[in-house]
Amino acid sequence: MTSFVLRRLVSLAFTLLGGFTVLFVLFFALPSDPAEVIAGGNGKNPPQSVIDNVTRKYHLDESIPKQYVRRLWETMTLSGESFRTREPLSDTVADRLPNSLRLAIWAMAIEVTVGVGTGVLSARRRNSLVDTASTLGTAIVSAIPVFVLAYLLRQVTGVYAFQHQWPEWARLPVLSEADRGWYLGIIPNLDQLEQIIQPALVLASVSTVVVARLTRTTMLEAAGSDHVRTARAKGLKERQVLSRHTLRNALIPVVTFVGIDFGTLVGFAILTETVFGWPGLGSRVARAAGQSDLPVVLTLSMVVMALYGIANLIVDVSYAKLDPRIRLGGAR
Amino acid sequence: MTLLDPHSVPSADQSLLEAGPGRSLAQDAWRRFRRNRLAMFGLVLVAFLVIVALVGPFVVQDPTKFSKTVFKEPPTNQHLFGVDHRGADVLANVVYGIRLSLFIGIMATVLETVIGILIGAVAGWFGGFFDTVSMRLVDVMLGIPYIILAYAFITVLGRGVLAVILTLALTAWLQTARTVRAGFLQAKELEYVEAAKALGVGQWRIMWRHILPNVFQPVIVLVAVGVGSAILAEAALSFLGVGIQPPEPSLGRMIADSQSHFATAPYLLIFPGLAIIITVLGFLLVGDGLRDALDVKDT
Amino acid sequence: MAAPLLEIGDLRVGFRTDDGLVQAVRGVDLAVAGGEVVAVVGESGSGKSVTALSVLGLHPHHRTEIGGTISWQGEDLLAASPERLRQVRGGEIAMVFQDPLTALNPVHTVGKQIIEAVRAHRDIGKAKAKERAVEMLGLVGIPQPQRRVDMFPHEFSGGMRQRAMIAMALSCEPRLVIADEPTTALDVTVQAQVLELLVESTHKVGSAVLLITHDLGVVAGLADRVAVMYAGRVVESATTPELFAEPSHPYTIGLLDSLPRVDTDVDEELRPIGGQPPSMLAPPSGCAFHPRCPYASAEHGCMHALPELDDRRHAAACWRRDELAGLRAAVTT
Repeated sequence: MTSFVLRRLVSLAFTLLGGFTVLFVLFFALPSDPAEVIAGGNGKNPPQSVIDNVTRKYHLDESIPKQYVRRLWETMTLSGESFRTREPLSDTVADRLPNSLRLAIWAMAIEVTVGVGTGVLSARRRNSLVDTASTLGTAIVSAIPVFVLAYLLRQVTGVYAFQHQWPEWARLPVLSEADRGWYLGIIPNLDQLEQIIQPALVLASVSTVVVARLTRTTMLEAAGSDHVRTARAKGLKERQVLSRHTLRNALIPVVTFVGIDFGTLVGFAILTETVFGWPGLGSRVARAAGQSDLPVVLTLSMVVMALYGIANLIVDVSYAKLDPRIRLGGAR
Repeated sequence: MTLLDPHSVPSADQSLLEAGPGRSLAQDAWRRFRRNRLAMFGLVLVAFLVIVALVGPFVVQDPTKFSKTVFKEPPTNQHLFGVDHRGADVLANVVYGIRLSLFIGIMATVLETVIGILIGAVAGWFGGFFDTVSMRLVDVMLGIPYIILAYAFITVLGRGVLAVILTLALTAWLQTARTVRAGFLQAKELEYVEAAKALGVGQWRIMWRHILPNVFQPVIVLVAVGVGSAILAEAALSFLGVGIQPPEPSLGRMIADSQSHFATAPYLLIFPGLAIIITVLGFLLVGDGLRDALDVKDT
Repeated sequence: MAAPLLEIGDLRVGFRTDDGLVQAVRGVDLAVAGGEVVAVVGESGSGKSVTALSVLGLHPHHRTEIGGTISWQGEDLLAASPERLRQVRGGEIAMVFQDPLTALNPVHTVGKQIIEAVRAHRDIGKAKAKERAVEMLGLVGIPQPQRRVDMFPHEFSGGMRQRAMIAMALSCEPRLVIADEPTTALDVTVQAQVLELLVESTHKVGSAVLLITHDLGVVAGLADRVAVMYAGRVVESATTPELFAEPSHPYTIGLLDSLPRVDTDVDEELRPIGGQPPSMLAPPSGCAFHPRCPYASAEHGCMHALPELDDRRHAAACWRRDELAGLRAAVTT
C-alpha cells in the first residue's frame, strides 16, 4: 500500500514534469520572442523599451535550458510573480486555492447526490421513454456551453427574479464574493451559500448528467448480473439485493468517474469562475491568459494539474477498497 | 466432438437475435441507426445546419454592416433575431457564425483524426521507443486541463481561424491516437494478419488493408462526437477572447461581447446560445447513435 | 415413488423479444420426490435451465410469460406472494448456478455471502452465522475453512468456488437443491469431483437434487431418474438404468450414440446427431425433432402432429416408439 502510493507519487511527479515541459515549450521556447507576447497582451505593439525590460526581468535572454531550470524552480516554490499586478504567486495560490476547492467540492456534492439519485430512479423504471429522455437530456446538457448556461441562470435568478418580485429564496445576487471564514473551510453560511450555489450548479451540470447516465447503465448491468440472481435465489429481501449487491457493485465505476472528474471540475472551473466572478484559480488563469501573463498561467496551471493528479491518486487508493479484485501491489 | 458440447452448438436464442444473413455490417449498422429516433433527429439537425451554412449567406443581410441609427432592437420583421449593441443584424451574425463553427469543427476534426490515426497506427504497429514516447506525451497532455492546453497552443499559433483550427486539432488527437493504437495492438495478434505477414505482404499494406478497417468503427464515433466538442471548444476560446477575432463572426464571441447587455436585451444571449446548442447537440446525437449502431464500447 | 416434493405441470415459459415470442418451454411435466436425484438432460436452448429458473421465479418479469403449475409440497409457487417466495428461495429450495465466478459477488467475501444466506432464513447473530459458514465450507471439503471464510471469490480456484457455492446452497438445509449445469464452467479435471461432492453433501443434509446438465454421461452414476428435454418439452423420462438400457426416443438414442463408451469396440465411431437445434421463435410443426430424426415419417404423423409424453412408467414422446428397437437394429447393421 505505502509502496503503491510512493510509486504513484513518483509517477505523478514525472507527469507533472512532462506537463510543465509541454507548457514551457509552448510558452517560452516556441514563440520567437516571448517578451513581446508578455509585454504585448492582446496583439498590441509594445514599445521596444518595454520589451527590453520584460526580457531582462524574466531572464528571457538566457539559454533555453537555463530558463527551463529557472522557471521550474520558480513554479515549484511558487516564488514567481504576476507581470501585470506584481502580486507574488504564493499569495495568489493561498488566496484562491481554497475557493477553487470549495467550488469543486460543492459541485461534486451536487453531482453525486443528484446524479446517483436520478440514475438509480431511472434504472428502476426501465422503459424506452426514460431511456430516450435520459439520452436526450444528457446530450442537451453536454451541448450547452458552460457560459451560456451560467448567463441564463444569472439572468433568471439575478434579473427576472428581482424584476418580477419572485420569492426571496429564488432571488440570488448577481455578483458573488466568497468571504473568508467558512466553517471548517468548506461549510458556507447562508450568504455564502447564496453565492456558491449558482456556480456550483453550473459547474456540476455536465458531470451530473454523465453520472446519472453512468449510474443508470451500471445499475441495469448489475441488476442483470448472475450474482444478483444468486442473491435473489438465496432469499434476500429486495431491499438487501438492491443495496448490498446491485448498488454496491454499480457504484464502483461511478466512484471512479467522480474522482477523476474532480480534477476536471477544478480545471473546467475556468469558464464558470469567469462568468460568476468566483475568486478561484480558474478565473485568475483566464484573466492572466487574456493578458498574456505567462508566469501566472504557467504556475497556476501546474497547481491545477497537481490537484488533478492527487485526486486521481486518491481515487485509485479508494478503488482498491471498493473492489477487492484490484490489488494495489500489482501493476496497473 | 460431442454434439452436446455447448460451444459447438449455437443456442437457439442466440442465433435468433443475430442479424439476418447476407447483410453487410454497414447496412446492418444503418438499419439500427435508422431505428434510433434520437440519432435520426440529430442527423436532421446536422442536415439543417449544413443547409443553413450553405444557403443562409444568400438570404440574410451583411453581418458586418452596422446600422448607425438602430441599436439593441428586439426581434422585428426586418431583423428576425433583433439588432445588437453595435447595430449589426443578429440573424446574419448567427448564420455566418454557424457557418464558421461548422467549418472550424469539421476541419479541426479531419486534421485531428489524421494525426491521431497516424500516431496511433505507428505506435501500435511498431511499438518500441516511438510508442513509449508518444503514449507518455498523450498521458501528460490529457493531464493538463483542456482549456489551459488549448490556450497554450493558441499563444504560440497566434489568433484567427487557422490558429483556432490548428489548436483544436493539436489538442484533440489524443483520444483518437489511443483508440487507434489499442485497435492495432489487438489486430496485430489476429490470425489473418499473422497469415498476411507470413505470406510476405508489406507492413504498410497490412496496416492499410487489414487493420485500419478494424479500428474504423470507434474512430467514426470519435469523429462525430469530435466535431461537436470542437465547436464547443471554439466557442469557449472565442468567449475567452483568444479565439476568432473580429471581423470574423463567432457565436462564442457574440455572447462574450454582449454580456453587459443581457439584462436589457436577452435575445443577444439566446439566439447565438441556441445556435451553439443545436449545432453541438446534432453532432453529439449522431455520435451516440453511431456508437449504438456500431456497438462500440464507451471509452 | 413417494408423494413428490416438487411437481411441475404443463409449464410454459415464453420470452418477449423484438423478433417475437421465444417459446423456451412448451409444456413440461416433471416431478422430484424427497431425497431423490433427478437429472434433466438436453442441449443448450432445450429449455432445461429456463425450467429450473422458473421454479424460483428468477426470470426477468418484464418480458416473461409463464403458465402452468409449479407445485411445492402442494403449494402453487407461481401464485405465491413475494414474501412467501422469498422464504422458499434458499430456505426450502436452493440453487447452484453454472459459473461460480459470476454467480458469486466479487466484492464481498465468500463468508459474508454465506452468512447473508443463513441470516435471510434464520434468526441468528452474525457470529453464529459465521460459525455455520465455516462448518459448511468444511462440509464441502474446503481446506482451512476458518481462513477461507474471509477470502474473496477471486482468491478461490474454480472448483473451490463451486464448492463454496454448494456450501451456500446447503447452509439452510433446503429440501431441494437445483443445480444448473454446476460443472460446465469448471476445469474438466475437477468436474467429476465437484459433482460427486454435490450429490454426497446434499445427501448428508437430506436434500433432493434436480440436476440440470447437457451431458448425459455425467448422469449415469449419480441420478435416480432422468428426463430428456428437447425444444422446450420432455421427450423421455425414466429411471436411469432403464433409460440407458432401452432408450425410447430417437433423440435419446442419438445422444447415447454420440457418447464415448468404455464397453464398446474402440473402432466403433461416435455418431453425432445431424442438423441444428430448432428455432424457438417458430418451432417445427409436429414433433419438434422430426427435421433431425432418422426415423421421421409423414404417415406416422411425425411432421404435423405433436406427440405427447405417454403415461407408461418409462415414458417417451414418439409416434414410432414401439417400432424403434427394430428400426434401430436395421439401421446399425
